[in-house]
This record gives sequence, C-alpha cells and structure tokens, in this order.
Amino acid sequence: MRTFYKMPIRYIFLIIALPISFYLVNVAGISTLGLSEYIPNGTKSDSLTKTVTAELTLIDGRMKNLVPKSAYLAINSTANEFYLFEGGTVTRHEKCSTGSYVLLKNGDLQQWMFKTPKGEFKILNKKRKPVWKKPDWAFIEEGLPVPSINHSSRFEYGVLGDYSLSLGDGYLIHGTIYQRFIGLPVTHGCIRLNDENLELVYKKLAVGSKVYLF
Amino acid sequence: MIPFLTQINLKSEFLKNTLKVLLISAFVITAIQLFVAPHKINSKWKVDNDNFRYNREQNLLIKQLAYFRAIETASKYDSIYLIISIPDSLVSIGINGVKFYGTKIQSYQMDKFLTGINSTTVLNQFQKPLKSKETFSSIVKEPIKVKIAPKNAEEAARMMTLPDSVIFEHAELTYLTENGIVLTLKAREDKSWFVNKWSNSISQLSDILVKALNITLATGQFKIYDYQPEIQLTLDNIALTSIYRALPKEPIIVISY
Repeated sequence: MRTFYKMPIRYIFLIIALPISFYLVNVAGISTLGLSEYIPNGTKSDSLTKTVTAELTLIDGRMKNLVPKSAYLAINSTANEFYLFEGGTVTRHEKCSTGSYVLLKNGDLQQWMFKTPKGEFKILNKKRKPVWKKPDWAFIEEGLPVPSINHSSRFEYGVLGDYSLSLGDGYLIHGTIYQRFIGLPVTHGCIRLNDENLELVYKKLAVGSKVYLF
Repeated sequence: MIPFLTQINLKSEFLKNTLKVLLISAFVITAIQLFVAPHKINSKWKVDNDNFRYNREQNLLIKQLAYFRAIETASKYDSIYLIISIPDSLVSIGINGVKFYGTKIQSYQMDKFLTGINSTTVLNQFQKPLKSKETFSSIVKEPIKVKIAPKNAEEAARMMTLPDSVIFEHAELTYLTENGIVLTLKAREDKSWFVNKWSNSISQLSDILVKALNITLATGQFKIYDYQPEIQLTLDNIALTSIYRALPKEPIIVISY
C-alpha cells in the first residue's frame, strides 16, 4: 500500500524536477558567458564613447539622405492600402485596389499573371484623361476575339478615371468606374484609387517620385 | 530451460541498476550539453581579442552602432529587407534605405543567450544584416487563382466572380538565419485563454522534443549540440501577412535589441 503511493509521487517529482534542473543548467551556462570579459581603462572607455557617437551621427546623416525629399507613395498589395508620405510622414492612408493574383490560361501557350509587382518604382509619366488601350488578355478574359493591334475596339475612354501615373511595363496608378471594389484585389496588376485620392496623388507626386510596391 | 526464481530476481536487479546508471548518465550528459552549448555558439560569435565589459550607456551605444551599420549595409541590397527593432517595438520593411511600412510588436520573447552575450559580440554579429537560410510559413506566399480563358462571351459572363472581402488566414513564420538564430513571427490569436494555453503547451512540448532529439544526435556523434537562440514576436495578422508577402523568399534581416 505504501509503495503504491510512493511511486507516483517519485515520478511526479522527477517530471517537475527534470525540466527545472535542465533549465537552470542552461541558464547557468548562459550566465557564465561573460566571465572572460574585462573592463577597459578610463581613457579607452571615453574615446570609445566619442568614436561610436561620431560614427552614429555620420551613418544617421547618410541614411537620412536616402529618404526621398519629395512626396512618395507606398502601396500594400496584401491589405490593398496606400500610404502617401510627405516629409517622411504619412499624410494619407486609405484603401486602393491591386492585382487579383489570377493566373489566366489560354491553352498551353499563353498565360498572364495579374499581380502587382513588388519593389521600388518611379513615376515615369503622368497623364490627364487617359485612354486605355486594351491588351490581348482583356479580350481573351471576356471570351472575345482579339482584334488587330490598333483596332478601334481596343481604345476605351473614361474607364481609367481622370488621371494616370505610369510606373513602367504597363503598370499604372489610375482611377476606376467600379469604385465599390476599391479595397479589394481585383485589378490586372495596376493600382486603382478612388477619384479623390487619385487627384491628390496626381497633384502630390511628380515625374520621378518614388513608389514602393509591396 | 526454465530459470530459477532467484536468477530472475538477480537479473531484474541487474537491469534495474543498469537502467539507473543509464538514466543518471543521460541526465549528466544532457546537463553538460545544456551548459556548454551556449559557450560553443558564443565562441563562434565573439571577437577574440576585444572582449570588453562596458557600462550601461556604452552598451546601448554599441548596440545602436550595430543596428545603424546593419541598416546601412541592408540599404545597399536591391531587395526588400526586414527590420526588427525591439527598442522601438517595431517590425518594418524597407528598400534602398527607405522604411516604408511598419507595425508595432505586440509582445515578444527573447532568448536569454541574446541578452547574456556582451556588447562586442552583439556588434560583431548584428552589425551586418542576417541572411536567412530557411523559411517556414503557415500561409502561401502568393494566393494564386488559376482561371481558364472562356471560349466565348456567355461563358465569360457565367465565370465572372468578384470578391466581397479579403480573408486573412492566421500567419506564423519562422526564419532560420545563417548564424543560427530562430526568428518566429506570429499573429496574435483571438482565442480563449484555455485554447491559447493549450496550443502554447503543445508548441513548447514539441520544442523540447526537438531539442532532446538534437542533443541525443549530437551526443551520438560526440559533439556539443548547436544551440539556436530564439526570438519570438507577436504581430497583427494583416501586417504580418503583408510583410511576409512583401519579402523575398529568403530575405535579409536586421535585428536590434
């Protein structure tokens, strides 16, 4: 009867004591790491403080120079949000629409991935009243025959809003007639803003302004 | 041939003693491994003839210097990098020296080893960005949806679907860096206290088992096991998903603490 009670208590003790002792041994190992260190003398210690402070100031200056002086834009293609920065601080943070991540396959030979690229970009040009020249995928996606390169059906007026800002490779920041989808990943890779934000971004960003897509 | 009863008792006593010796040996070996392993990684990390102990203010300055140098080096890489700043409670991403997105750290756990090493070792290890060599994630990098081109306009109209919301799955990422740090970024879960405790216990148990396995394997090879200092951060789920998807597969990481 005595043995019956004795055994579980011994095991319970072991189960609790083992991890604790291992933990303590590990902590002891870590706390003995600094035993080989020594304290530098006063002169060496003071010159170190000065040297480090000077280098910190230098690096800080160089890093500040890398931040754009003019307004720039950051676009979060996961949360479908944009951040307009002016003087290094966010002055507008609102919803936008970015790529849908749809991979459109047309047979075995043709495919298009509708995603917003990632990285650092620049505004290459700005347009008022842009006209959308529909690429081949826009017809294929709608189940329509692809017209010739300059066919009139390729040109759509008003669908990109009042302004567009080009990032290169066909990627634009533009407006939309489908404003209810702002905030959702529904585009073919471009960035869609509502009318008010588009106008603001158009006015604030100059050609050459940085755009960070992520 | 059936053995006598006394022989069985002798054998079981012998087995008992052998088992005791084995268990005590295992305990001693594990204890030695746990004690020595931090020293092994420290000797890899530290600078040989520059092992000073500074005052609190100087320690902070040296750690800040490591951070600044690492940030400056990272700014020369032409890809998006991850910046973890424990003193600022901030996880951010940047490219070419510009931090363009960040989120607050909601809670964190830092390995005692990282706070136990001296400032010159911190400077030596963290003054350059850490390279990740392996990444594990609970979410996909790119949520790709394959769509087959419709044959005609009617089929296209039938296929037309537009989302009404975006669903974010619970994100948990682990980066293993080249210098042996295990960096875990996980989203806060709004589950009950009991469920949280339960899942934490399970993950702690699996950590212990992995560690036990590593120790056993290293002992089998007559080596000291590789201690892996851990940093665990809890962030907002959408921010964490955004950061993960912005980063390249094996990003460079700047850590300041």
